[in-house]
Amino acid sequence: MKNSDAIEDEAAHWLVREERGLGLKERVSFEHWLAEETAHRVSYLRLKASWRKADQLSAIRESLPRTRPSLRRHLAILPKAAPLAALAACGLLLLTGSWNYFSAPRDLAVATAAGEHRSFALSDGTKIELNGNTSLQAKESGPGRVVTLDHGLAYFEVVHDEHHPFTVYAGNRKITDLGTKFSVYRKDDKVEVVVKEGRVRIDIVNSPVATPVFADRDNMVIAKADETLLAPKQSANATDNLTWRSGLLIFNDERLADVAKEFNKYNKKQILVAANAGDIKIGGSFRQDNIEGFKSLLEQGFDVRVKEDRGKIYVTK
Amino acid sequence: MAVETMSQESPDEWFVREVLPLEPMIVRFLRRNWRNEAEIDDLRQEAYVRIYESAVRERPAAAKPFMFQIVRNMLVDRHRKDKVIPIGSLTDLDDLDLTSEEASPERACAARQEILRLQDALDGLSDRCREAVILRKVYGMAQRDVARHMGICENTVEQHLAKGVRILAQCVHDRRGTLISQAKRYLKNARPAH
Repeated sequence: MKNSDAIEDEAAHWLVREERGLGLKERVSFEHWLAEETAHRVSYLRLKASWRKADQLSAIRESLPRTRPSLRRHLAILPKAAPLAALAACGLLLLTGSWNYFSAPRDLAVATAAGEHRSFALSDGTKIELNGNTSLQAKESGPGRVVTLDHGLAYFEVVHDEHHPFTVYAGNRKITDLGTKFSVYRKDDKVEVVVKEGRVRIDIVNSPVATPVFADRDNMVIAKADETLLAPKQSANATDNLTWRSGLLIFNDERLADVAKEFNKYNKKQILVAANAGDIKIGGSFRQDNIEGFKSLLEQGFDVRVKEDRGKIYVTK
Repeated sequence: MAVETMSQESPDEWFVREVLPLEPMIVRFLRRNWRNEAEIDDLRQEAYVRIYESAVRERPAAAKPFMFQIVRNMLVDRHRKDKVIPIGSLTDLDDLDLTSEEASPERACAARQEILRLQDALDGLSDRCREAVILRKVYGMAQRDVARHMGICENTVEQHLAKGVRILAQCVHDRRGTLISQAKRYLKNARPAH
């Protein structure tokens, strides 16, 4: 067996080349190298795991010493045009308003009612799924593909194209696809991003010098005003956050008040939880439209009273 | 549901999630039971190979005892082959608290600690190498742009980054780097102010 030092050196070079992008021939020899010995594979996996973790370093950007002229210079060329582009995109969308479904590329506006679930594809094959109560505009006639999420929850499976970047504007956040599947939820100034595959880059629109956050697979980003939280998520949880796509709501020991809020996103019939019952912890999975099932489960399983009146469900202790 | 996720997980994913976070423990165990420091990296590598291959055959229910059994067997094999140290002198597995949460993935994920560790790792890189890693990881530049920015060819960037990859791995997994920088920090603070 080769010594670990030599193998690690090879693994490191493969990792860097893989990131840079492998040609077909290179890809074949890389796969061959990986399969050749388990020692190659474990060494590569080990380096890749820590190299991926190093993405968190983007968080230290502000704390870097200012005495690095080359870095400072680079900062200056960061996309100052971003907010302008967003504005322009919004303006154009307002002007175009309606769209032609069959011409491509096209600009369009889509909205769903509570409980509705809709998906469609852009002309490049990018898939967009809308949850209930969601409104967005997509513009793909410009140099880049731009989606503006007004409110609600949408899931994107992006066909990556380096020369035709895909960005989502949600509130004051700009989310840039780096080859990925992800969802964005927006309510007023709160934005949540869950990455299912690949990576995204998240910028604050009106502040070009602020630290961009890079979110990886199974990361979740919660952004409000100028705060951005990057939470490393266990894969199971990230899946949970995306289960609305299958029409399921999954709760894990969560407050009844929060659970009700979640249901209310998807249903016309709203659940109102009295303050004295809001802290009851519940868990489980429910079809998001099965509000009746949820109601009867509450009645049976918990020490609460459930009353329905004029399309509203009242839960009290 | 948990069981379902386990069976769908690839050996690669399992290895990254279950084994790598235990690296500090594995390395500490190897050090305690092997005299030649220069061979620790090779031993760790061999241990990983054995662990990975066993897991491909059958995924263990509990990763920690499974791994340490493999590491221990490996050392026994080695000792037998080298006829250096009698088998009995191996630190007993019971001495290791296998249930301790010390190196659990949750702990290892503690983001703040991790960033500190990564910063330490950056400190340990040569100037050019550090600049390449910072441009790539902190500023998210593509390698081509890093090369243009630093005025060097892409090949050289690859050399710098490959080196960075390895040193970062040492700090993140094995945590060898942290002690040194902790000591440095301590010395800095201990220095009398002028």
